[in-house]
Amino acid sequence: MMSESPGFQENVTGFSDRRVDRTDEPIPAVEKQLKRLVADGDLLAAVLAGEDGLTIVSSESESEERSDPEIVSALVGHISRIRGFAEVSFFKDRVRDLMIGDVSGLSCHCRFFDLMDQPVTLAIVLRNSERAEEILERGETGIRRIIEIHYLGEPSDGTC
Amino acid sequence: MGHVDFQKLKAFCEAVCRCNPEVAWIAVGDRQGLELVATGRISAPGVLDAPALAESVHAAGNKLMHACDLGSFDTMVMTGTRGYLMVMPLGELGILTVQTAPPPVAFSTIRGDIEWLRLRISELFV
Repeated sequence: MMSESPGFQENVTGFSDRRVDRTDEPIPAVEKQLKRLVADGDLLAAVLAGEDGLTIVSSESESEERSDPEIVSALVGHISRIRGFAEVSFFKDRVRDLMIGDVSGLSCHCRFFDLMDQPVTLAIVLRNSERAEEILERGETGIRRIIEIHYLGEPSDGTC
Repeated sequence: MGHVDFQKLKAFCEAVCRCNPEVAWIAVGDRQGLELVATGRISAPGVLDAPALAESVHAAGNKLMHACDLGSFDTMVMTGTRGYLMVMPLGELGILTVQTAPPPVAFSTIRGDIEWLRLRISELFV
């Protein structure tokens, strides 16, 4: 019997399969992962998008305050350009995370990483950004694991 | 832009640099991307380009927020191997850019002091 959902903190440890609600299909599995992030992190939306700003998978909050995933994806497309500019002109290396916030306290946090050699962006929108990095970390790890196990048979870092 | 007390502006920036060893440098630029004040390790790579970069980021950030129907652009923080680069608009006054040490230094630890600096700078321009 499946145990009850472990808490958010417990979920971020280790690399074993911790998914409670799972499917073997990669895209629905990533969708479930994002849904879980939205619920656990009290997010307005979570989106996995390409650098071009096109949505790959998304999930939005069921509460009244939510963000349109398509708008978040479009934001990712623009942010990718800003990031590219900063990488060339300032960092001389890859920018890992980018956060953009508005005056109301709403912020969009992006994590840039490669998935099966394709650059993707995980974007989350939330009000309280204190846990943003932890949520991005958990999201990236979960997505990587789902995709790499499905297509490569194991995570690229070799853990099971 | 009205009269600005650059001595005070520089003193505020220096105070934050002094109290936070994680801060590499602080630069305040005008809306044209020109440097007004730079403090900290100003010989570090990237300082000279910071106001121009900040101006570009600021312009893009504003357009972006508007296009996506979000509120006015308030902060942008980028994280890379060279540390955190923070860009904050100062209204009509200019743009504040701060570089700090890279992770594992937590950006949140100095965020309060940067907000304090932003407030003091805003008061200077009143």
